[in-house]
Amino acid sequence: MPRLGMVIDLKKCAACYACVAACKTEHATPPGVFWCRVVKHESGSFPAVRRIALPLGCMHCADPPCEKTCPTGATRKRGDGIVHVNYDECMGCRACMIACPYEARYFLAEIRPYYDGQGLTEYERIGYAANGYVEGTVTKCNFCMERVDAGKEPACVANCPGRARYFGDLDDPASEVSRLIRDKRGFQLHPEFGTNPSVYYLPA
Amino acid sequence: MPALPVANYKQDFPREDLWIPSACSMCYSNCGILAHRVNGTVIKIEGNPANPVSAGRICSKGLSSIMTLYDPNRVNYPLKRTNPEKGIGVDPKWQRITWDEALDTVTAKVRAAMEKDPRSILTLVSAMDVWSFSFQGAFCVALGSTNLWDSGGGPHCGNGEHAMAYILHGAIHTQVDYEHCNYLLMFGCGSGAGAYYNATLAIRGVSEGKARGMRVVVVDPLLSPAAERADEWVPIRPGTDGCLALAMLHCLINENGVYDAAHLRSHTNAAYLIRPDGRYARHPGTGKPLVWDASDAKTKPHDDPGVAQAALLGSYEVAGTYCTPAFQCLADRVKQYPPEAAEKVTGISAATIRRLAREYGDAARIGSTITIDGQALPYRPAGVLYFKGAQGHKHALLTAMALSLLTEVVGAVDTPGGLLGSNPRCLGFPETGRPFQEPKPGPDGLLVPGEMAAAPVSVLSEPRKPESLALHELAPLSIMATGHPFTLLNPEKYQLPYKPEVHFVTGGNPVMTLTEVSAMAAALKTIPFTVSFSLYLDESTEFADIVLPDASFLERYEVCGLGMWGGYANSAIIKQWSYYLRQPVCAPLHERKFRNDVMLELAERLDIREAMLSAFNAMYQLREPYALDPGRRHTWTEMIDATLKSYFGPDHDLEWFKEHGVLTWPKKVEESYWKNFMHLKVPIYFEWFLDLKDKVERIKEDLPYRDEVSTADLQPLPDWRPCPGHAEKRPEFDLFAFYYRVPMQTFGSTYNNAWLDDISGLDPSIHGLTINAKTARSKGIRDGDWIWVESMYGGRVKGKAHLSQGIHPEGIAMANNGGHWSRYLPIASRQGKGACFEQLMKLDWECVDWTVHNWDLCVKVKVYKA
Amino acid sequence: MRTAIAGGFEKTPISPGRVVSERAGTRFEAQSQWRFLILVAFFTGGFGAGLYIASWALDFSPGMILALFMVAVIKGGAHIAYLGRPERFWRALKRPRTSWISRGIISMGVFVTAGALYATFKAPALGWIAVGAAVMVMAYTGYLMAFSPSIPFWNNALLPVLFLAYSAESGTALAIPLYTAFSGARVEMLEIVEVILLVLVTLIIFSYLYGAYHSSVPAREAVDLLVRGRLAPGFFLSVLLLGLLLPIALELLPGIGAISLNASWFAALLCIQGAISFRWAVLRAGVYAPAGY
Repeated sequence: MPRLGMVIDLKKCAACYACVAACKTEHATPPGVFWCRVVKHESGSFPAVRRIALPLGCMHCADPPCEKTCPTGATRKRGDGIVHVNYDECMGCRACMIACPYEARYFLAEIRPYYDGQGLTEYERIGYAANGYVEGTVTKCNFCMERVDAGKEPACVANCPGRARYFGDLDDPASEVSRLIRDKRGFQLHPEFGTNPSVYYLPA
Repeated sequence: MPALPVANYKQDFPREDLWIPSACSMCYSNCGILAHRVNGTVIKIEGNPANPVSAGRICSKGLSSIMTLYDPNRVNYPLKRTNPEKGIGVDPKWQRITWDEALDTVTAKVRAAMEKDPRSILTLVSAMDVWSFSFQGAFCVALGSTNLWDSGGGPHCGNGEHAMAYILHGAIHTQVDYEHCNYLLMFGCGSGAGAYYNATLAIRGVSEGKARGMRVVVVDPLLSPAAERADEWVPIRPGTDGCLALAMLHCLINENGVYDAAHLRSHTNAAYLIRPDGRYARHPGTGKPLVWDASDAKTKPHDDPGVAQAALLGSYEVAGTYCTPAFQCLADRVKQYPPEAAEKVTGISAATIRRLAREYGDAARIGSTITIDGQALPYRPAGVLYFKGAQGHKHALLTAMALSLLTEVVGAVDTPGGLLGSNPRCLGFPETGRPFQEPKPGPDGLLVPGEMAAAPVSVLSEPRKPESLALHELAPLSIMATGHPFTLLNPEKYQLPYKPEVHFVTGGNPVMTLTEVSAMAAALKTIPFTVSFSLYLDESTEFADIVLPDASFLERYEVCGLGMWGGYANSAIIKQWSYYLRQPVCAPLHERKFRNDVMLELAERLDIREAMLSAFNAMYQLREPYALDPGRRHTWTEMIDATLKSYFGPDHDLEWFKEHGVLTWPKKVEESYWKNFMHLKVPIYFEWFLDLKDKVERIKEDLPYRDEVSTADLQPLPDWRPCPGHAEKRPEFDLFAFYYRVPMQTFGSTYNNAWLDDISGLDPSIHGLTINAKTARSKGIRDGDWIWVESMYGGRVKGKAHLSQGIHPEGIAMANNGGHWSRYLPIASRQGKGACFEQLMKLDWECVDWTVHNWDLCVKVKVYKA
Repeated sequence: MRTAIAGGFEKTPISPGRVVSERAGTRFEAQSQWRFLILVAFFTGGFGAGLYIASWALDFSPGMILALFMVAVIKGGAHIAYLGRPERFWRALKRPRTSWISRGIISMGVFVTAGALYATFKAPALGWIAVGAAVMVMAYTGYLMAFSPSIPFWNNALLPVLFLAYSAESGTALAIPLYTAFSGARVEMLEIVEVILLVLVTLIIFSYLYGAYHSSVPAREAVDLLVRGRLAPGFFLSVLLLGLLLPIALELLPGIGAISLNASWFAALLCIQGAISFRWAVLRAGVYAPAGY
């Protein structure tokens, strides 16, 4: 069984937010929900200042605290390492949101139209239902498991204009992701938390 | 088109499941896309991997275009105003009417105007619609009016850069050859960060370049998206980029002696001898400019094959006067800009300036060659890219000259690793040899762009007495003159032989994107009748009399890559030619119609079809047997079909393109790096600007507004001059406001897109006004406070302060064109969604660069808590 | 034909974090999910269980019944009301092997069942089971919050101990006047226990904050919020002064056993508001470790 993982090369990331939009249109995530987002950190003071952009999403931890704290079993880890939420079992207690060190999870209190007060657009009418969103449950990145199961890369990887994202099997030492992590000193976010994320970053 | 499986949609047995190849138009990059349509609904837009213009990867705007397609605030039916009073915030009281009624009204108004004086019809185009420019042009020609304008062409375009790109590269704009570049120096330009031409491909270019070790240095008052990912950010005082460029030229030429003498001799006029009066020393017989051959100490015509070693430096006696080679003139000019002097102007230390010049000069590797496809070519892996930010000021032309000469001097032009013109030379599709264009030799051996069906800026540009609303005739170096607000508001003063009667709006939002908002509103009010093809009831559509529901790019046909400005999308960083189709990915919703179809209907009603189709044939250079028969009516798709067949042969007709989407073939080395294969020269000394100046001076003598027309910047060599903001001395106006571009919005046109709005909210600098944290604190402003930004000219805008260390202490930056106020754009018009920079501007010739019609975009402001 | 809409929606009502502070360009976000209802549930659970144990020790049935009511109805009700899908509440029982929520809900069920049976049949074994479950109810919220490293301020071994002590302290504080009001008798022993618990809680809070402050950047940010930031007035006034120091003074100044019933009620009120305030402050100071700081 492979362990699916992602590598994000921060040197190649342009902070263009295309991954954020690619994710949104792939999964029709409702307003305010970002399975994939970009966070910027500024350090130093003028003129010696540096700002880095960090694309964030679910880290699909090998040891996911969200899965452990989930009382219903709605959050599960597949054999290939993908951590996902079954909306039909989630009861919306949000313990997983508290437990996730990467703030990757969103509570879908209600599905509001993007054009508030003007009804759902034709796209939203189909998209929200087709993705199986259930109001009152928690949602997050699922590594595009439908695409992955169909043999495609996740949407954010396939679309990344800077080709900063890579996807593959972390357990296969010959895979591109393993090679990049090894050769370019890939690192995980908050390794000290012991969650062992499957998303690695290459230094800027 | 083979159907791909719909993996993520759970409907059982969808009746329809299509991936349709088309082209994006959310910005001017025109990326190739694939649209996924299931049972009539567009559910996904992706990049088209088969189309090199995107290579399967597109930006947040294209991905979000579904929300523009289905936005409930789109105009869906023809409307007419029932409230005759026009003004900002005055409700036109729109009433739905039928298409017939709308077209009857428009026809009557246009016909009346044509009878009076066809030039009284003014057409507004949008930079996003570049692939309809030739069509619109044909329509205007048929109407008898070439009064055109482009929303935002003055402040938001790189008019100085465009002029230099045409003059030096024979193309509308330039791109750095990321594939080979090792040192990228950018001035106020967002390439590689989701802005500038070919936004997504430039991201890839910079990303892969960086991974390869390319060093990126960005000069910008703001730690902009481009500066953020650069290796070095050089903060600069707004409006002083030209001064930095001149100081760097001084270091290169006078201090380091770094210049590409071979390139300067063979591909520029650097060796042409200049007389004390600034003109070329010419051969008495042929009139050809002379050079000094140092090998036998004689003057010879510049193109004399016997010239062994043309002198670049020195001073030589020619017919009794001392003449200096143009390069010596340049060296003398830049001597006036030592780094120590530039430090005082730019705020960048002399040591940094010297270091940048040294790094850049070293990176250019003058003398080195690279072999590509068996051809040994000069290898100059250093590029300078600049655009709106650097030259969007009063003295745009001078700044652009200085910046462009940085690449010219080291020979990093149209050769591997350097700055490339976007497609001056195309030898055509191998099967048909079309489209064909290449730069041609012009007067004095200087390059004239070969771009088809356009009148590009070149050594041939001539001023005339103005008859256009743009006053373009007085500014022939401008690709898009923008004198309209002046002439509209004061037609008597500008002595036009007609008064505007009809405004034909095909896109754009000039109230928010040109200059002082109230003045623009007043100018639009002067036109008695306005018909607007609109997606939205935006701030400018508020001034329309009839609104026609336009089709968005997902609902219409266009041919991408042919016609005017062919290099626009298929730019130099793409090493393949790509011609492709924009086709509807769904039928126009509601009663929306694509304006080209409507304009063809209007052509019938106005009896101008023959003229229009003839003009179309000429614009697109259609050849028999595919030229349109002006004697019969054609649909827009028939016209596209004929155009495609005329260029790519009968096999590549509309049906072929509908199925395949795109036709590509590799670019030859002779095309990408054409300069090494053609004996054409470009100026480093713009001698003919002196003629231009004399001519404009002569014309303006008779004009009542002669005092407004300044030709001072028409000089053969660059200088740095402060823009009006630098002269503002009132102490409370202590900051420069400026505007910049971000990757998830296109000017002001995307602010009502709900997804893009949502995404913009992730970064507080997008909707906020970025101000230096220390400066803000000294004014008692905290992060998130509401502030007023009040211009030295009186206007003011309100926004939320975003405190950052990443901005020059003398600057306050605004992203794109936020600050909408139309009640019909509920998302865009919410308070706190950015600010409209134009509110701070002033309609005044003092704020316009007369030579290229660039508006000054740095304004001194005072900032205080709201 | 078209309606003009004034304003769209407010930004991101459902995003996980809320920016609470910024330091050297890093924005610290605090959890925004667990708020009022969770406060009610967590506090009443601990407080009720504490009251039950004190009442059990005194064999004081009204106290036990009140405690059972609080845990079953108020805590249970708040939990169910908080859920996004309340009808699926039963699913919470499915993962006791890893989930503290499952464990807590099961403890609650055992506590309420055994407690109710004990109140009816007075079988000592049932009483011990109920007390054991009550200890779990008092402590599990602490373990739940301390479980994940995501919020370093909470990821602290002292938190369950603190919540346990606080629950016992607040429950006992109420049991004292309640018992006296019902029976007319006084239990000096309980007052001594209460003073000890108050001192203990004060010490653990200090140790907890001290340890957290010196453990990691986000935890320090959280402690800063508590002792210097927005939450400081509430912390010093409600938690420390009114909730701990004043009750100690009220108990000790007249001498053990000499406190009047009214003063005792007042002390209980102070203790309860202190316990609520502290829970609230800790929930509000749930600062995430920013990614990549």
